[in-house]
Amino acid sequence: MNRKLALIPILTLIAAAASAQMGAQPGPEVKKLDYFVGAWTTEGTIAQGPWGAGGKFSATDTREWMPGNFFVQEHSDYKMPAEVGGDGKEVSFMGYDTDQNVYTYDAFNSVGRHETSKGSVSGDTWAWTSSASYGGQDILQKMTMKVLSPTSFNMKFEVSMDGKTWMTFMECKATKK
Amino acid sequence: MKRSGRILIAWSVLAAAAMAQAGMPQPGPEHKKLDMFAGSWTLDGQMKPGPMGPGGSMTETEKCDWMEGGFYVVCHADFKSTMGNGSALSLLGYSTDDKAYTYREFNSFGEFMESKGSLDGDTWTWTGDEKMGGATSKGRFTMKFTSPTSYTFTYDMSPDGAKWTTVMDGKATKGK
Repeated sequence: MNRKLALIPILTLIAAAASAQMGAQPGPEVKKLDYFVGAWTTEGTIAQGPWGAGGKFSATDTREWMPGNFFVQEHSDYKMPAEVGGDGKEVSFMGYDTDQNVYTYDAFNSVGRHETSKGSVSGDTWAWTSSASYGGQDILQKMTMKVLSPTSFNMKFEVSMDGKTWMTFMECKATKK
Repeated sequence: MKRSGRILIAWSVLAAAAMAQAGMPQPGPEHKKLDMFAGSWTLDGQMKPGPMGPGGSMTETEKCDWMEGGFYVVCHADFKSTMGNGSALSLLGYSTDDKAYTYREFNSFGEFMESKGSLDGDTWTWTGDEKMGGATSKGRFTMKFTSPTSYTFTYDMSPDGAKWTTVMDGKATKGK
């Protein structure tokens, strides 16, 4: 069902565009995602808040480059209190959108949610923003990852309803095995 | 006080929403229709000759499995053609907000593709925008199931969504 092959022979700009696409190489921005590749464990705490009493969060993540080295694919098993969703699995993809000059993070989980985040990196800090709808209510989300070393980073996940007032939902630390 | 009240109400909504989430959503009947894609498939296609190219054959092997939870079918594909070889990982799902099937693909050319789909009888139709070399055109992938283990497919493209040109067709067969 891949459509790339169908695309190639027809578009006007075909020959040139096709060879450009086929010969495309990952840029330096994409290569920065290499930091996340490997087996990671995450431990943290979900804060008490309107969503409930909070509690422990933990995850084991395996991230690897997809063929072509444009996307990092992640498989995650996570555990958290049932009142905020419970345990589950997630498949996600990190990449870089050269049209918009932003990093992208697409996550699909075992409770049927799909979320797309846009990211940037400045020094040792990655910042990802997204929005999600919960029961028809739009929530803004912000994930900040501060790199501590080649094998560890801190993560803070915040939510907001108006983009001005932010509430910390979760803080955790990820460690590479 | 007034602002605090608004925030409290807002967070109450969030709490209710979170509680609803905790109720563990279940896949609906629309999700279950994606089951027909689960399994191992082989696609044989023929790209049409045109002013820009001679066309040629393509083959693809695809293995599709349900992701835990039963909301997404995840497909790993390897494809070969005279134009080059590659691989892709795609996820088929259903958006209850949009009331449309979803197809999202990440491939070894560094592309992300997204289509929306519908099912009418034995025919699935997927439409999306295709970007290439700075140009955007519309793509339409039609799959007509001829049995539980086979479907024919046609891929059409259009610069404007009005006039469509078939660029590829073929047949898919499910393995045992």
